[in-house]
Amino acid sequence: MTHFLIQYRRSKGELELMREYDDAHADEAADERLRLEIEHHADRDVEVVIIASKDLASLKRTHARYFNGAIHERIDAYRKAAGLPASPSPSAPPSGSPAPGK
Amino acid sequence: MSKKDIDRIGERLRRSEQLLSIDDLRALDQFRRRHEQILDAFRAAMADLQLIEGANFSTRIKTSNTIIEKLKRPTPSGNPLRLSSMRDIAGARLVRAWRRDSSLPVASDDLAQQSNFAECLRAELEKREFRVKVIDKRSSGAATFGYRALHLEALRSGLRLEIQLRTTLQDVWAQIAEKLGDLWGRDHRYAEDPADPDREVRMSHGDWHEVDQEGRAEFVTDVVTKARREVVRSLRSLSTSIQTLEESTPKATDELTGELLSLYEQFDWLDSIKE
Repeated sequence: MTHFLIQYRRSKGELELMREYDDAHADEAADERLRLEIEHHADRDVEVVIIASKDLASLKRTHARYFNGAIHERIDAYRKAAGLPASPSPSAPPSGSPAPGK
Repeated sequence: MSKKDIDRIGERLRRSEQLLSIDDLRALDQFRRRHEQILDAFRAAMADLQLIEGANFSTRIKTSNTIIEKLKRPTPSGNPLRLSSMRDIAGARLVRAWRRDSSLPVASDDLAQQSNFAECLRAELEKREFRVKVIDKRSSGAATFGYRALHLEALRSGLRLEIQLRTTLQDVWAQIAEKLGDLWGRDHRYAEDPADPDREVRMSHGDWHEVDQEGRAEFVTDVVTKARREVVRSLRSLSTSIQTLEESTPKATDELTGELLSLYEQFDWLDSIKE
C-alpha cells in the first residue's frame, strides 16, 4: 500500500500538496501529518489527511474530491463505455444557465 | 489513555474557538494513531482475501478538522457527541469491489451483489477476530441528505472501523456531495429545503443597469444562494432516482449518467461565479 499525505484547500477544491510513503515509512507520514496540522491549525479551510491506497489511480477513484477533474474522468469513462460522446468542458456554463452578471 | 481522558480531549475540542491548542491537537493525534492498529489488521485481511488486486479500496484516519466539526455539531438527542463514541475515526472505502477467485462475489455493482458481498466480507472478517455489523444506508428516504451506501461497522481489540461499500452510482453521487460540501460548506447535508423555492428572482436582466453596486451584489448573492439550494435539492432528488434505478435494473442508464454530469456542471459553474 502507498500512504498518500494530502494537504487540500476545501473552499477552492485545490490539492496543495501530495507526498507518497511506503508501508515502512507510514509513521513518518503520520509525523508529517501532525506537523502540517499544527502549521495550519489556525486555518480551518486546510485539510490534512493520509489515505492508504494501492496506487494513485485507486486513490482517485475512492477520493475523487481531492483531484480536479477526477469525477469528470469517471463520468467520461462511463459515457465511453455506453458509446456516448465525451462530456463538455466543466468550466463552460451549462445550457440554460442565467448570465452571472459580471 | 482512558475513555475518560479521550472524552476530556473531545470536550476541550468542542469548546475550542478558532485557534486550537497545540497540546490538544497532539493529544487528538495520539488518540487517532491508536486506530492504525485496526486499519493494519483490516488491510492485512484484505490482502489475504486478494481484494486489493483490482479493487478500488482505501483507508484513512479522520482529519482533525472533521472530528472537531462533528463534535461541535448538535445531535438529534441534544446530548453532545463524545469523542470515544465517534464511529468513523478509522474508515475504509471500497467502490465496486471484487476478487479474482470464486469464494467472494465477482462484483458488487448492483444492490443484490452489494448485499451479498457485504455478508461475505463480514464472514471473512469475523474469521479474523473482527466483530462486524452490517448497516444498510441505501434507502434515500432514511438518509438526512441523500447519502446511500452499505456500511460495515467492524470492532477489534476495542477499536472501531467504518467500512463503506459503494456501487459506482452511489459513489459518484457521494463524491459530488462531498465536493459540494467542500465548496459551499458541509452544512448542506443538514440544511432544510429552501423556505420559498418558487420565489421569483427580484430583478430581470433589463433592470441590471439601473441599480447600484450594492444592489447588484445583493442580486448576485440572492441568485447564487437560490441556485445553490436548488442544486442541493436536485442532488437529493437524484439520490432517490438512483435508488429507484438500482432497485429496478442491474446497470445504470445513459440518461442517469447525463443527469449526474449536468448536476456536476451546475455546481462547478456556480462556484466559478464567486471568484
